[in-house]
Amino acid sequence: MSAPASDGRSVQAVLDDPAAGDPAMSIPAAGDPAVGEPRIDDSATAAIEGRSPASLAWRRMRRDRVTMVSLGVVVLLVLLAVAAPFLKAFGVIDPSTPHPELVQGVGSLPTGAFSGASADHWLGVVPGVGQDVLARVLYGLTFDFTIAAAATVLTVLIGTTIGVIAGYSGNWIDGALSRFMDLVLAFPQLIMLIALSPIFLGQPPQNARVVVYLIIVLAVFGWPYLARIVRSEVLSLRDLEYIEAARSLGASKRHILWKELLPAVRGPVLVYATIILPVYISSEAALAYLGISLQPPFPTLGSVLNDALPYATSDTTYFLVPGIALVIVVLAFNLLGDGLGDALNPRSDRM
Amino acid sequence: MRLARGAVMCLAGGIVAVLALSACTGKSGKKDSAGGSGGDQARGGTLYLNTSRAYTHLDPQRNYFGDAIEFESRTLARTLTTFPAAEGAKSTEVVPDAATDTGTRSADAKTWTFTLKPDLKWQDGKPVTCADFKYGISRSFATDIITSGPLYALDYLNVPRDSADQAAYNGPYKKSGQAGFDKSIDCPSPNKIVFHLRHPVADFYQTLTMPAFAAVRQDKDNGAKYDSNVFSDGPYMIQGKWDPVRGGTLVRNPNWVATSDTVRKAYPDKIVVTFGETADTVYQKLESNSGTQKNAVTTTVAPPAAIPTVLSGPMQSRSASVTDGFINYLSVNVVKVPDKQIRQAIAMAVDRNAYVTAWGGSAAGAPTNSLISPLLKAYTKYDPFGVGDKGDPAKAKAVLQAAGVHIPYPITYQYSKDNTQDKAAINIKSELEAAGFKVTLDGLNPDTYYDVVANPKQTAELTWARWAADYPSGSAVIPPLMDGRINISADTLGNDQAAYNDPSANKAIDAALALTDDAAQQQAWTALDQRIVKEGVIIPMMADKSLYLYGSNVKGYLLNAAFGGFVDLAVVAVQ
Repeated sequence: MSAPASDGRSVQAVLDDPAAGDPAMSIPAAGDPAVGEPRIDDSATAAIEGRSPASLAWRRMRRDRVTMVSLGVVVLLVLLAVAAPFLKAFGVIDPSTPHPELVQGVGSLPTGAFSGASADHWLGVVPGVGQDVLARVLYGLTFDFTIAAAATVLTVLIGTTIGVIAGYSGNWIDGALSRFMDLVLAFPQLIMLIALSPIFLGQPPQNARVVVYLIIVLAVFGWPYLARIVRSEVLSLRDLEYIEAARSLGASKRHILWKELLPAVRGPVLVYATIILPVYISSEAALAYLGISLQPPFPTLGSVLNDALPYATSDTTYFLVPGIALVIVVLAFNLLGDGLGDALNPRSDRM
Repeated sequence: MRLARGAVMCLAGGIVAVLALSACTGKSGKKDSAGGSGGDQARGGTLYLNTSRAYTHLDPQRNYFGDAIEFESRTLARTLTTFPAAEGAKSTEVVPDAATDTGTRSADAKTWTFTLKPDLKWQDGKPVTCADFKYGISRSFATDIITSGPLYALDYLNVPRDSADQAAYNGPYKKSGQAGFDKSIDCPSPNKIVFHLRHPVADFYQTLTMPAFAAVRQDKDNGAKYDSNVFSDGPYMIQGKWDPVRGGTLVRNPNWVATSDTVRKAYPDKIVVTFGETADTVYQKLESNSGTQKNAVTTTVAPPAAIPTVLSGPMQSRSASVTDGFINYLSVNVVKVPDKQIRQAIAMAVDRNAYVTAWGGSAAGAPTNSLISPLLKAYTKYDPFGVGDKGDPAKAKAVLQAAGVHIPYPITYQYSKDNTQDKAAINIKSELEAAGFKVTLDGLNPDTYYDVVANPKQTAELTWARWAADYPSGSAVIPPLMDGRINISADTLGNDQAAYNDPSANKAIDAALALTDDAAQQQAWTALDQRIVKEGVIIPMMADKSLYLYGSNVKGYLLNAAFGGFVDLAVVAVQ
């Protein structure tokens, strides 16, 4: 809602208007008075600009170096993960082709230092079979990232919906939903995943089914955590005046739930999503160790890590690479999540 | 036998024996482990046996895995004859165990007579009798319940045949044809046993070393569940609950009479067996050599990742290696791939050198083109398709195109899944795809692998397998694997994963078995081996070597080549 000076609203009203989302929107330019109005000397206030909460949050984040670096890393990782299938299609990276001639050391170790690093293989090759490690880590990252992102989206959708409903409804609906959340939380996720896998994955386990299975099961067991957070946020919001005002203005429950409450929980949900995504990536690594993963030669970060673990002393480079890759990913997301949390919290300016 | 059975590879006699002797002698780091006698072994202590692949079938008639056979043979189930605790070729010189000698045979090698030793006792003190041996052997015929075991009894014993040329006896549970079976084994007195064979078997005294010919107490038999509660006549018995998947504990059998047993020394008081850890984990624990690991041994071969560590530095003194007589090979199912040219294309495309590399290089094995181990007399080195060890995908593709099928031709490759096998499978997939196939990889659970690939409904076009001769002869390789008549029935392929049941080949097998001249018989096996390989039914890949690590307190460690190169539990001690 724009507010030209001629309609008589005060500058303060314009500044306080949360709907004035355009940071470039400024107070009326000096030297443009309406006819008949005294000339207002705006030069002192010209520098004050309207800011939305989002832009305020962004400014806060920009000041935090660590968070900006992790944001950069996350963006880079996402780009790499998206690009990897295309790079493979164009033959730039090749995670599958074996090169037995490169692994003729004792016990089929790569010939050459640093796991056989060379111009063709920047991070060396896999012992025994000679596949390119960098390509496998990148491609594995793609898979992990896709699974984790999809599971996160699903978690957010389910968790937010149920959390908002439970938090706002009160009475028996909240009670039932909360008990349901407790029930799901009580299930041991990893064990369920392993126990149910033979039923859903088929023999041989088809890769497409593995992907869908991982996404669904991660989300199905992950949503209650988010739902609880959303529920408690909604509980604290629903008695606020603006909700009461909306109610007294005749807003339907649906309007209140989806148009007033949902936007208000954006912040915590965003932070939680940023933190749960690396947890899902780590869960995939754990599951690959326990055997639920893609059939070879398709790598996942977990299966590369699983294969590299026994080479701790005999091929240390190969042992370290996927581990460090996983650490970087998880660290970047966690730091970003922390930074986002601080940035979205209006009170953090005072600290 | 699968996976660790006494390899007969180290046969005595002729040039082969000399070569075999040098190749077979395991390199043991311990200075005093000369054949397990003497040394400084003492009674007492607990031996820990940590092994990846579970000994799923300890039921003696169902036990067909080399390490499980060696384990059971040395602890729970005595047989009429057995292999001595010795290294190299000496281990294949069969000695008496439950019998007083290695048997008396008739001139035509069809009748065999043994006398049982006087002090054979079950774990409840009752004596072991001829009836117990007869009952145990009869269980092999109940092929609906007693699955997965060796099938020599069905072929060798003189039981009447039915119209399909199968033994007309279905075991002691259903008892149809029991009278016919009863005539094939006589018990003239409780301690005398006489076998009547269908055809001459000159080496029957060697066949009798297998637990499939061990005694079982009828009142202790509970059919399919016997895997969990084997009743013992050996130096140890099961304590409490035995889990075929997880393991258990063996304690001393108080009724075993040591003077009746010339082979088993039974030094440890207790043997704690644990299955299920990955090979990498087993070896990481052995490398650490801390706590109970000092008293630990394993029948899991060192995985490629552990080979460089084991062969370097101080660990080498507690390591040992042996050519174990196992052959790694692929089977092409002739029912699913009836066209010989397609099978030959598969055989031409694979690269044996890359396969050996995936398994760990020269410390893990050597490329081979024969189903018969290089250590047996029946082995010859040859190149069936003229493509060498490296294979030739281009030539294979030409053959596939000549077969006139749609390219890419889809096949599935089933194998027992672990990290090493995944790598070998990746190589096979890439080689076959260069030859015009479309390969789906299907890594199966190792504990049930052989049961799955033997199931005609679940098996794939191309399957992996590993085999060693049960005793030092080609007749322990070709008939058990390739004779469709004893392997194939409605619900199982037995050990014949390729579903090969060629009438003219079967006739050739019969002719070879009837030969009484050993050299001629081995030549016949060579010819059959080459024929089967040239038809693309079997694709031999690697002749295995085994490298093992053991704990620093373990004494008298030796690898018994006759059983498949596994640690001989008859003579190890931890004190």
